[in-house]
Amino acid sequence: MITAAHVKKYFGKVAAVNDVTVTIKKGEVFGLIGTNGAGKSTFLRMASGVLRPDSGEILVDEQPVYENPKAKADIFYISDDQYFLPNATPVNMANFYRDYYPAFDMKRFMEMLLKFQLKPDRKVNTFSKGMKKQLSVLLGICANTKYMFCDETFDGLDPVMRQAVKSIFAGELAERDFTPVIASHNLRELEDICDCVGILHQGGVLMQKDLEEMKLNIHNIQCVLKSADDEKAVFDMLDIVKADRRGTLNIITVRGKEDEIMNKISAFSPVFAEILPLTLEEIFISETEVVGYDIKKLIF
Amino acid sequence: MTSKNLFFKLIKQDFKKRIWCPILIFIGYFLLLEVNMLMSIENIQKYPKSYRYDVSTYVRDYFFGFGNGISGSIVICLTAFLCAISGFAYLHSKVQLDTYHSLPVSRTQLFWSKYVSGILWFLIPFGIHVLTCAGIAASKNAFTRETTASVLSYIGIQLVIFILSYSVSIIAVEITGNIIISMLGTLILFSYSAIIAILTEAMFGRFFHTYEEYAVRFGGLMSEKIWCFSPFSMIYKLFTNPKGITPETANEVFQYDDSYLWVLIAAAILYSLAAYITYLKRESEAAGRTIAFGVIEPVIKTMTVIPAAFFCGIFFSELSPNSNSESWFLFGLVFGYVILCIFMEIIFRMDLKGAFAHKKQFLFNAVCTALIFVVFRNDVLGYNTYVPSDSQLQSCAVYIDGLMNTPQRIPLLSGGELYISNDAYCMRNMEIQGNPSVMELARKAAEDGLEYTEFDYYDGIEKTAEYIETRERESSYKSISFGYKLLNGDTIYRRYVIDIDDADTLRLLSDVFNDYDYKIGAAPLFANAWNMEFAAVRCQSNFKSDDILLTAGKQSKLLATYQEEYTKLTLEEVMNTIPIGTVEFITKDKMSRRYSSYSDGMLVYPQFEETLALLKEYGFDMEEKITAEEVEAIEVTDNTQDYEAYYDHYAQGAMTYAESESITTEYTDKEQIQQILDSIVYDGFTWQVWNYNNFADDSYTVVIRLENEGTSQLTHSFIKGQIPEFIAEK
Repeated sequence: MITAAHVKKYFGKVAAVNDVTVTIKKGEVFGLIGTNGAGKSTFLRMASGVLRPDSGEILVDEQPVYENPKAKADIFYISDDQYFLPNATPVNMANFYRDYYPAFDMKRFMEMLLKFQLKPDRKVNTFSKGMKKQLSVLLGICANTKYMFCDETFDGLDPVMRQAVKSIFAGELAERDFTPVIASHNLRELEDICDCVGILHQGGVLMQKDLEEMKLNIHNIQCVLKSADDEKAVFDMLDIVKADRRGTLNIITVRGKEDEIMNKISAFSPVFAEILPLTLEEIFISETEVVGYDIKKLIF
Repeated sequence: MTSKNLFFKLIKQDFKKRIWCPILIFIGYFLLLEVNMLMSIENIQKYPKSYRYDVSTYVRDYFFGFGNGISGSIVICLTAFLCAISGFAYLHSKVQLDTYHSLPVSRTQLFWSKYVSGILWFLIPFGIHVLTCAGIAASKNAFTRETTASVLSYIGIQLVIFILSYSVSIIAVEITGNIIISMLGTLILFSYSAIIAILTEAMFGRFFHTYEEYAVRFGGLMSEKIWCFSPFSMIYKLFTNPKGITPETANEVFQYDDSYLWVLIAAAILYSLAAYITYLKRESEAAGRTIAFGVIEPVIKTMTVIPAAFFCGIFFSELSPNSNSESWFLFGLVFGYVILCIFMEIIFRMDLKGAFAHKKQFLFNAVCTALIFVVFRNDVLGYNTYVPSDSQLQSCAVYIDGLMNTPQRIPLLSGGELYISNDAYCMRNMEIQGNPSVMELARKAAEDGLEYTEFDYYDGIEKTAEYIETRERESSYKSISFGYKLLNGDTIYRRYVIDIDDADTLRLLSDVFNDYDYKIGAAPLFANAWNMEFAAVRCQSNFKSDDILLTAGKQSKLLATYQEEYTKLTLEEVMNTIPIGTVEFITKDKMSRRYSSYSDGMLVYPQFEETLALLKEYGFDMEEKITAEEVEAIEVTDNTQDYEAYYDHYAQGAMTYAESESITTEYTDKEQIQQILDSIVYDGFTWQVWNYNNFADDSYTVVIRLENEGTSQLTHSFIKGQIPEFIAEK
C-alpha cells in the first residue's frame, strides 16, 4: 500500500504538490488525473524516490522511499519521457534493468517483445513514441516489481495496444501482488483501466474515489412529472447533484442507490421515468461541480 | 545480489554508456606519450650536442620525471574534465535523473561507481601507455633501475593530479545545470586562487607605492603567499622549485617539490569528499537550472563580480595614455561591475529580462566593491607604513637601486645563461643582522612616505617649469627595497623612496652600505664564486681591456684581496671617487666553448691598492694610461643635438627614432688629445653606481683612434665639469 500524508513539494515559490494526502491500496489500478502542472508527475517522482518531499511523507509498504533502495526495489517508474541508453536496443535496456531488478524476467520479456512486434535488436532511438511507451511498459512488467508508476504512459497509445496493455495488467493483477499507478491528463484514457481515481488540481488532491462505488452511487435520470408540485416534492426527497429541464423533461443527476431513487420517483406516478447510462466523465463533472469546480475546464 | 556486485555492474554499465571516453583518452595519450617519446629519443640520438642529457637521463628525469610537469598536467586536467563531464553530465538532464534516481540504488553507490569508473577510464589507457613507453625505453637500453621509481612516481603523481582535477570538475558539474556553465564553472574553480593572486599583485602594485614582491617559487607570476586552493595554483606550485634556481640546481632537471605533494594528496581527498557531499545534497529538481544550489548563487556572484570589476578597472587604466589614471580605473571598475552583474543575472536566469533582478545583491556587491576600493586607495590598513618590529625580525635584506648593480649570471650546460637581477639576488641571499641603521632607515623611509611625482604626460611637458622643477627636486630621490625576514619564516618586501639630500637618511644609508653583510649579500661574486674555476679574468682599465689567465690559487687570491678591499669601501668613497677599472670573472661553456660573464665588471677604485698591485703582478696594470703620442685622433660627438632631434621627432608621434643629427668632430692635435685623455672616463664604469655617482657627462661621446690599431672599441664620456674649453666653446 502507498500512503501519502500531507505531502508538499515546492519548486522555488511554486507549490507543485500542495498538501496531498492519498492512499493507494494494494492490488488496485490507481489513476491519477490532472491537467498539465497539476502535480501528477511531481507526485510520482516523489513516490518513486526521485524527489524528496519538502514536508509530509510518502510510504510504500510503510517504508519511506527517498534514498531507500529496499523500498525502491519494489517500484518501477516510467517517466513521461523515458530515458533509454544511447544506441541501446530493447535487449540492452532489459540487461540494464536486470542489473537493478534481480527478479527481471528476461524470458518473458523476449516473449512479450515478440507479442508486441518489437524487434529485440533494433535501436530504441529508431522507435516511434508509441513503441517506446510499449517498451517501457514491457520493461516495467518484466521487472516484476510490486508497484509500477506510469506517467502519461497510456496517453497516445492506440486502442489495440491499450487493450493489450490492459490485459497484461489484468493478468498481472490476477497472478501476483501488483499495483499500477497511472497518471494522465485525460480521464477518458483511464476509464476502462482504473479501479480508483484521484484528481489532482493545482498541487492538491481534489478527490479520490473508487470507480465502481461511484458508478453505483450516482445516477442520471430523465423523467416527466405530472405537476410542478410533484416535481418539487420529488426533488426535495432526492439527493440531487445536478438538474436540467428541457420543457417538461427533467434530467437530473442524483446520488443514491438505483432502486431507492426509482421507488421515490414512482411514488408520484410520473408520466415517464428512466435511468440513463452515466460515463465516468459525467460522474466526475457532477462530483466536482458539487465542490465548486468546473471539471470540464480542468481535465477534458 | 550483493551491493558489491551491483557496484561492479554499475561500473560495467558506465563503461558501455561512455566507451568513447576511454577510447579518446587512449588515442590522446598514445600521441602524447609513445609518439612524443619516440620523436624525442630520435632527436636526442641524432643531435646529442643540443641536449644536456642523454636518452637514459631523458627517460628517467625528463619524460617520467616531470621535466615537462606543468604542460603534462594540463593534459591531465583536460582528461579529468572530460571524465567528469561524461560521467556526471546526466545530472543536468531531467530525463536521465528520473531514471537513475528512481532505480533501487543508493546515491552513495551511484556516485562512487561513476567516480571510480571515471578514474579507471583515465588510469587504464594511461597505465597501458606508460608501460608501453617503459618498454620502448628498455628497447633503447635507456631503462635503468632508477627509471622504475620514476615510472611509479610518474603514475602516482599524475593520478593524484587527475583525482584533484577530476573532483573539482565534478563539483563544477554538480553545482551547475548545463554543460556550458559547467565548463565556465570548472575554469573558475580551477584557477580562482591563481586569478585572485594575480589580481592581488596588480592591486597592491597599483595602490601601494611601497609594494614589492620577489617570488622565488612562482618566478613572479604570482605571490607564493597567496592561498593555493585551486588546482591550477597547486599544480603550478608542485612543479616550481621552492628555493628558486641556484647555481647548483640550474643545470639539473627539476622534477617536483615532493614536500608539497602531500598537500596535493590531501586536497585531492578533500575535493573528492566535497564532490560526494555536493552530489548527495544536490536535489534532482536542480536539473536544467544554471546553478543547482540557490543558496550559493549570490556567493558565486560576489566572488566573481568584484574581482572581475577590479580587473576591468586595471584594464581600462592600463589602456589609457596614463596607466595611473584614477578616472579611467574608476570608469573600468563601474563599467565592469555593472556589465558583469547584468551578464551574470542573464546567465543565471537564461533570460534577458532578468538582467536587473536582485537589486539588493547588486547594491550589496557595489558597496563591497566601493569599500575595497577605498581600503586600497586610502591605504586604510596601513600597508605603506607597516614596518615589522625588531622583535619580529630575524634578518633583513636591502637592495639599493643603482648602487651595486651586480646581477647573477648562471651558466647553463645547454648554452646561454640564467640571469638573476641584482635586486632578486639581494633579497634571496642577503641577511643583515645587528645593524640598527637598517631598520631605522626602513622606518624613516616608511614614515617619510616619499614618492616620485607621477605626471600625466603630454606633448611638451618636459619643458614646463613644474616638470623641470619637480625633476630637479627629486633628483636626490633614490629607490631602496627591503626584505624583512621574520622569525616566523615569512618574508615581507617593501620598496621605498628616500632622499639622500636628507643628512639623516644619507647617514643611515652609509651605515647600510658599509655593512659587511650587505656587500657580501649583494654581489654574487663574493658569495658564490669561491668554489668556481673561471676561464679568465677580464680586466678593464680606462683605456684598455685584457683577459688574464690565472691558476685557481691566483684566482682565489685575487678574489679574496678584491673582496676585502671592496667590503671596506664606504658610500662616501663611492659617491666621490671615479673608478679606474673593472675586473670581470669569465666562465667558459664546455659544450659550446662560449665565454660568458659570471660577475659582470666589478668596479676597482684607486683605493684598492692591494688589488691593483696584484693585477699588476698578474700582468695587467690598471693605472697605466695612454699618452697623446699613442693616439692618432679622437672623435668627439655632440649628443645634445641628438636629444633635441629625438624629442622633436618623438613629439610628432613618430614610432621610429630620428636620424642622427649629431655633430662629430675629429681632434688630431696632440695637445688637445692629451687634454681630452685627461678628462674622460670609460662608459662601462658608470652604470654600476650610476644612481649615486653619475660622474660622466653624457653630452659628448668620445672615441679614441690609436696609432696603427684603428678605432678603439671603447667609448668614453667626459667627466662632469671637466669638458675641455675648446670643446665646450664649440
